Amino acid sequence: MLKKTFSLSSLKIGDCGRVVDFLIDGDFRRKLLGIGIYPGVRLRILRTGPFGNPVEVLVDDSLFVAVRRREARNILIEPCNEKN
Amino acid sequence: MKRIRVLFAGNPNTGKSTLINRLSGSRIHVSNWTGTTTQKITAIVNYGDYTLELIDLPGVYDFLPTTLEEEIAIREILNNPPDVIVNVVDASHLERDFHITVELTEMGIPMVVVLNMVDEARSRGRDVDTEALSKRLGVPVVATVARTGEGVDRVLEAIMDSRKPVPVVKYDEDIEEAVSQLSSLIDHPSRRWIAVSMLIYDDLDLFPVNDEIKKRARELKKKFEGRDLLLEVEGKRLSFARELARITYVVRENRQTITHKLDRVLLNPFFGSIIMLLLLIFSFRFAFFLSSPWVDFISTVEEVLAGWLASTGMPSLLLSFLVDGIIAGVGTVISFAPVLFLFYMVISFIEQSGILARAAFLMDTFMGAVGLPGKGFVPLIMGFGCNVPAVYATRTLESPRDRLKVAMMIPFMSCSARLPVLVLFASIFFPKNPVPVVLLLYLLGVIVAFITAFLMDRFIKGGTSFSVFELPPYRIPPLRTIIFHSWMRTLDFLRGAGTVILLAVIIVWFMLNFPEPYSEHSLFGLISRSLTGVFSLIGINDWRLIGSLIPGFIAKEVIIGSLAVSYLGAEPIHALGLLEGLKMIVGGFYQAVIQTFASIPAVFGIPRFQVPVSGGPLGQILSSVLDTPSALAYMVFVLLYTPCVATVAALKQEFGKRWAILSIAYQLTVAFLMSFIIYRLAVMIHG
Repeated sequence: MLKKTFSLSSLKIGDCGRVVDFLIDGDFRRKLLGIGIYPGVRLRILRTGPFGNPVEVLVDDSLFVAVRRREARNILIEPCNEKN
Repeated sequence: MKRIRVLFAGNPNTGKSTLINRLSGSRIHVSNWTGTTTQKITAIVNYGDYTLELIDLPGVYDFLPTTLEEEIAIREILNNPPDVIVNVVDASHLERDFHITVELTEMGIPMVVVLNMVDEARSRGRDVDTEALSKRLGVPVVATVARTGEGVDRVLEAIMDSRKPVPVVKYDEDIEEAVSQLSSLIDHPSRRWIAVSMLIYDDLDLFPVNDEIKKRARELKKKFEGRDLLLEVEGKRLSFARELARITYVVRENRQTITHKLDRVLLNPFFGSIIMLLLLIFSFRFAFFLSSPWVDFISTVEEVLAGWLASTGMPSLLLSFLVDGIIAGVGTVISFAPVLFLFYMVISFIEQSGILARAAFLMDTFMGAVGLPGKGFVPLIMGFGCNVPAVYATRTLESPRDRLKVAMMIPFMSCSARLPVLVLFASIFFPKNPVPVVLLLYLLGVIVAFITAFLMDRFIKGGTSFSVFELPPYRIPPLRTIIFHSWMRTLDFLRGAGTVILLAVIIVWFMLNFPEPYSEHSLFGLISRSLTGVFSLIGINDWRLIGSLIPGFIAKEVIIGSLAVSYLGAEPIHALGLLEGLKMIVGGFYQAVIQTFASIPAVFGIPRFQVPVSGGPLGQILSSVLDTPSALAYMVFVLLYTPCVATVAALKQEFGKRWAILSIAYQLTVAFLMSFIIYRLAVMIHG
C-alpha cells in the first residue's frame, strides 16, 4: 500500500510525522542523522518562531530540535497513525 | 607511575566537563587544541599506582565532521589513540545518544559508558539498567548525576576496568567484505571504523593512512556506485542504537518536563522576546556595574605606583616612560579583566542554561535575512558590551564563513568603551536630547553591520550554511563550572592580547614624547597634523582631535583622556610616600568591595539613563573648537573607525592576519565615508 509522503515543512503545529527519507545528502543530512532525525523516527511539530520560522520539533518524544522551514522541505515524512 | 590517557567523548551538552571537574577537583589545566582557539580541558587524577590524564573532547553529533569541533575530536582519536574512551551520554534520550556509542564500538579502544543526568531522566519517567547494557556491550557502565556527584566515584574504577567492546553492528555481506579487505591493510586500533568511514566519506585526508590505502578505498567505493552507502551504514548503526536503548530503559514514559512548560512562555514570540530583552539588559548591567568599582581600583593602584616612582626623584623622561608607558600599558590590559570575567560569566550561564538556544530560535528569521544562523545573534549582542569576547563567541557558529561574517560585523556594534566618548560629545553638542542622539548612533552601527553582512554574502563565495540546532533542557549550571570557565577565558585573553596592548601603549608613548614631548612637534603631533587635510573634509581641523584617535586604537575610552591631555596638559604626578600609598591601595580595595555590593540593587533597578553634565573644562574647549556638524562627524567616526587593538588581536587569532588587517582598512573606509556623508548632510540642515 502506497503511503503518502509530505515534507516536514508542510506539517502544522501539533501534527505528527514519521521520517521516511531525505531530499539532500552531504553535511546537512549527516547533521540531521547525528542530531536524531533519521528514517523511522517520530517528529511532532511544537511551535514556530516569529514569522513562522524556525520550526520546533519534538524528536522521538525525547528532544527538541529547531529546523528552518526552508530546510525542512528536504525531510520527507509520512503521517503518524495509531500503529506507529 | 603508569600513565593512562582517557578521552571523554559524547554528544554536546551531556555534562562531560562537569564530570571531569568532579573527578579531578583542582588539578585542571586549560589550553587550546593545537592550531585552533577551541578550549581544551585536561585534568590529572591519581588512582592507586596510576596517573590518569583525563581529556575532554568537544561534543560531537557525528565523528565524520560537519564542524570544526567535530574535526578536532576525531583527529585526536585517530592521531593520538587513547588508552580508554569514556563515552558520556544523556540518560534522557539514549536512542539518539547511543549513535555515538555504536560508532565508538567500532574504534577498537577500551571503553566505559557513563549514563549521566539520570535524575533528569527519572523526572521524565525513564529509568536505566546499567547491568543490562554492560552485559550487552561488554564494557563497564556507570549511572551518574555529575552535577551533584552522585555515582561519580565509580567512574574511575570503571576506567581501570575498561575493556574493548564486543563488536555490535554487522553490515550487509558485501559491505562487510569491503570493510574487512580495507581494514586488514590498516595498522591502527580503530581500523574497522576507519575502513567503514573511508567507504562512506569523501575527504580521505582525514584518515591517518597512506596513499596506497586511500587508493584501495577509492577502488572499493566504486563497487558501491549507485547505492546510498552512508544511509545503509547509518541505518544499521541507528537501528542498533535503538536496540541498546531498548535494553537499557526499564521504564520509558513521556512525562512532560519543566522545560516543555517554560518554553510555552519563553519561545512565545511576544513574551519570549520581552523576557530575552530584559535578560540582556540585566546581563549588561551585571557585567558593568559590578566590574567598574574594580576598574577604579586598578586606576588607584596605578596612581599609587606612579606616586612611589615619582618620590624616587628619577629623571622625568624615565618616570614618564615607566608611568605612562609601562604602568599605563599593564594597567590597561588588567583593567579589561573585571569586565571580561563578568561578561564571560554571563555568556557561560546563557550557554549552559539553555537560554542561548532559545534566543537563537527567536532571532533565526532576522539573522536568516542576511544569511546567518540564529546563533549568530549572540556574538553580535555581546559586541555591545565588549567586542573581544564577542569575536571569540563566533566559535559557536558551525560554518567558517558564518563565523567570519559575524566577526566582521562585531566591531560596528558600539562597545561600552565608546560610550563615554559618545556621551561626552552628545551632552556638549546636543544638550537638549543627548540620549536619542546616542541611540541613533548605535542604530547606525547596527545598520552598517548588517549592510556589511549583506555585502559579504554577495561578494564572498562559500557554501550554503544550514541551521539546525538542539534546544537542550533548561538547567542551572553549577557556579563552580561557570567561574572556572570564565576565569580561564579571561586569562586566555590577557595572555593573548596582553602583549599586543602593552606594545601599542609603549609605541604611542614614544609618539607622544619624541622628539618634543606633548606638543605639535612630537611624532604624534606631526602625524596628526599631516592628516588635517583629510579630516578637514569632515570639518575637523584641530590636530589634537585627530591625534586622540590614535591612542583610541588601543582602547576607545582612552580618547577622552588623550583629549584632556592634549588640550589641558598632562597631569603632574604627585610623589607618594610608601605608607601613604599603601593606605590608598587598601582604602581603594575596601571601596571596590563596598561598591560592588552596593551596585547589586542597581543591577535590578529601573532603567535610568544617566545624563552627565556638559563635561567641565574639556567640554568648554571642545565646544569652541568644533561646531555641531563636525562634532557629529567626529562621533560617527569614533563609532565606526577601527576595532581596538584587543579586538584586532582576537580577529588575528581566530581568522588570521589577512582578515584582521582587512577589517581595519574596511572600517577606516566606512568610518570616513559615513562621517563625510553625515557631515555634509548636517551642514546642509544646520547651515
